[in-house]
Amino acid sequence: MTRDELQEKIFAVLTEDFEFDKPGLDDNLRDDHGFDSIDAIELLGKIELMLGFSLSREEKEKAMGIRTINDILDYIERIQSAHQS
Amino acid sequence: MAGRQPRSPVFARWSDRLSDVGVTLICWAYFTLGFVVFFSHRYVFAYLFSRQRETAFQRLTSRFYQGFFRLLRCIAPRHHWRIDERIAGLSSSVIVCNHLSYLDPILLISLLERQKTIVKTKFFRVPIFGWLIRNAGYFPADGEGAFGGMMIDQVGRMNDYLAGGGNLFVFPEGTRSRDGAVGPLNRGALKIARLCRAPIYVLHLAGTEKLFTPGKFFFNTRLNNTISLTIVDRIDQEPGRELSLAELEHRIRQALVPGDFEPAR
Repeated sequence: MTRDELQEKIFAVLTEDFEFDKPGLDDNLRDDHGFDSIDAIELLGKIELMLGFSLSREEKEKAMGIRTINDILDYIERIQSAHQS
Repeated sequence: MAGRQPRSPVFARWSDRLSDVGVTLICWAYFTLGFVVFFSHRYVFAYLFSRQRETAFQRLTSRFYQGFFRLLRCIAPRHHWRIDERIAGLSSSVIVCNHLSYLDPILLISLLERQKTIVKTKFFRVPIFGWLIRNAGYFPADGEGAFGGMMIDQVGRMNDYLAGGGNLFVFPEGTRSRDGAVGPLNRGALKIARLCRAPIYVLHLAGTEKLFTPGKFFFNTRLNNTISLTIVDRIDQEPGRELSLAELEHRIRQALVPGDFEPAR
């Protein structure tokens, strides 16, 4: 999946499932959209479905520090490349 | 026959204060000595030998607080308790309740044998207490840093826990109300409730703040007061027709404060 495809899917998830209003790539997820640890865990479940494989606990823990949508995209790209190699 | 002499105001004031101090000291004695003498060895036994450690810790904690409230009812008899009998029978449910006093979470723990809740992250670092809540499977309020893994584990196991008869209770206001009014609801707690896809029971609590008032150290034993805890709504989350967070917040607020439809933010 390219970054543009990922971005489209993540935007769709954030607006439909997390009720985000006009999210921006560099918005602070917590301050601007009330995104918290519980949301991060719920989002990880959706990322697993998107990627088609389960994330390890270590990979999930790394996601708890995500701050922006760009961070989410970087995170998914890193996970994807780690699973491809 | 001569009537009873009325108590002098000074005597009455001092005897009331002594009553408050006495009740508070007895309660603290129960929390410290009572824990050490009657419960600490049972927790250690459960930690070492129980196959279902979380369940054992939850049950022991419930028993500990049942003892506390039995004692409190005896030593503070002017406070009357009206607890909805259905609450003790709740299982596999998410329970949300308004929050008035530090007594509220321990009252719910005493009523529910299988219970988890969300606890301020700093309490997980407190010696003994942190160990107890960690082993009981309680959630840290914040999943950042060292607590990320714990929160991931707890949320991951929540569906099995609820399916096995456990309850999760939360106070969506996040903090105690200082004026008795229901404050803005914290969506974090509602997100967990929604994520769990279990029936949500809304409980309305009244009167605990008169017995143990926020900001006060001593119990107030002098008031004639009724403490009530009642189920005011049940919200079912049907697959494919889940409520949005806004709808859930609206429904819970409506149940807690009938007629108040707009959350105060």
